[in-house]
Amino acid sequence: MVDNTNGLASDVPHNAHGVTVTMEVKHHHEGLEMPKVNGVREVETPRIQIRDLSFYYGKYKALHNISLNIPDNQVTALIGPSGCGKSTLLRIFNRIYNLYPNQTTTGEILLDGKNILTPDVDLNLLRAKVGMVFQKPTPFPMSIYDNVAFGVRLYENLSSVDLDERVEWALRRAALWDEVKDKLKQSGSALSGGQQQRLCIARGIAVQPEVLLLDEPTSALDPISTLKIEELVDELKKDFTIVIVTHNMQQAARISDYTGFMYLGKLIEFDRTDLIFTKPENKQTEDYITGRFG
Amino acid sequence: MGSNIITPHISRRYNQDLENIFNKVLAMGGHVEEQITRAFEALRKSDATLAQEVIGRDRFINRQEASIDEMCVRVLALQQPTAIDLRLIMAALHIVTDLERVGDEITKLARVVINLRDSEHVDCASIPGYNHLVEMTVCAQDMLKVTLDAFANLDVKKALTLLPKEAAADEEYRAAQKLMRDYMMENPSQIPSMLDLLNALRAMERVTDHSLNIAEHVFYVVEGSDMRQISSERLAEVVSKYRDTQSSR
Repeated sequence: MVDNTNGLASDVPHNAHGVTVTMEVKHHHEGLEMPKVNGVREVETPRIQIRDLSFYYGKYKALHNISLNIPDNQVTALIGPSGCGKSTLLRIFNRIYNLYPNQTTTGEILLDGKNILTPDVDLNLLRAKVGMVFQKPTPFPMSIYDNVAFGVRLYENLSSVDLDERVEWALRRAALWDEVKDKLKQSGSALSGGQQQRLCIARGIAVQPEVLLLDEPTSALDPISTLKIEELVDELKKDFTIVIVTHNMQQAARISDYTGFMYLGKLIEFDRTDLIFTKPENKQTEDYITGRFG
Repeated sequence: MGSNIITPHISRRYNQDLENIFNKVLAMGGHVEEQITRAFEALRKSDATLAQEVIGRDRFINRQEASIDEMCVRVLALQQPTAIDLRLIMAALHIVTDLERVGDEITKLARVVINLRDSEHVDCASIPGYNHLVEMTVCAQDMLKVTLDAFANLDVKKALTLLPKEAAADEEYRAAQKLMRDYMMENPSQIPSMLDLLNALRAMERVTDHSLNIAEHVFYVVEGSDMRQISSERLAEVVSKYRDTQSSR
């Protein structure tokens, strides 16, 4: 190493005054990192474990043998071109696909050690554990209060005081409370697009799920509302495991801890977001994130 | 651009921006190389006029640095580059800083040529230690050329050859420094011109340091890691990975 202050070889870093300084440099490349197998980085504390998962629309195989661990209390972003299977994968986590005929899966997804793809799984309970927010805000045609209380009433039998508390808690966590606290009885659809989306997030977290799935949650929002949602996601990861599908790569870079790149139904690479955006290992990942995908 | 490592983008404008930056850095490198060639000639011929010219041209190199900086800031703000594009921009920003400093070091050599010419020495070559300065300047010139070639082709194998070269230059510098100190103690009347010569020697040694820095930036563009931070084991792995590859030219 060359110390540029005196041209002499030195292993000890100095500051401009020649005083030895200690630097905290994380040597990610030198073995402290979790291993990466077949382009997929292992994570220390997985919340969702996906094992050899394939998905079929009728006979068409839309997802090919995906194996991946989604880390606990982190934001995982799924990116890839349209039709790559990222939304399909997201929709398997709460088995929304079961609403449609002829859609089947093979392999397994373990949540808290239990395979959620077996027929005996109670789908209502699963969806209480794994909440979902969609691209377009979908407030129910009812008051702001009832939008948030709706799911809670389905799963829990709370006193009205406790329910009030829960609604306030969810609205506060969704960074919406201050804007709506004086108009809880007004219709949810009277709110702005960004507020409606935060209302949907409040509705999603009111039942206190473990996992929150966000499918393009800001693509219909203006930049300021988008930033508010992104800020919220960063705040919510303390309590929830978050998986977000986004077409906006800068958004994935800004808010996620891990990023998975999917292409033609396959998981091409999964790694820490900072590594994906500075030094991806796979050429296809690099071509996609740098805008070279032909 | 940069052998086959950097392929074209979908966006033509982005492509153009990156290519412009890459080419401008190379052009700036070319000018710095010309400067060191001229300064060396001035030294060998004790040509104060040529040395003065070298000093005058340094402003042009400073302007090139500012212009490339501006281009990089624009691409960072407008295109939000990632992966290899981001690494290329970061390297360009660092390399132009190194090149600008190399330009400054070359003017120091040129100034010494003028000083020596103005003192009682009509011929620089008559000063003890002159040979060491010539050797160090040849070494600096060679390392600058190799490192710029390595950048032009994003050639890690070539960049890695700078490591032993720089270590040898360091050693040469220290040995020459010691010899000249000893000579000064024995010949106090020569101290003013010897100090000049030592300054020039130091300037050329700094050029070898900056050349190694540039090689480290080439390494970063291609490998995505900092050559100074990785362990010696990992570095040995990279060296052996490139041992059997074909270097450019």
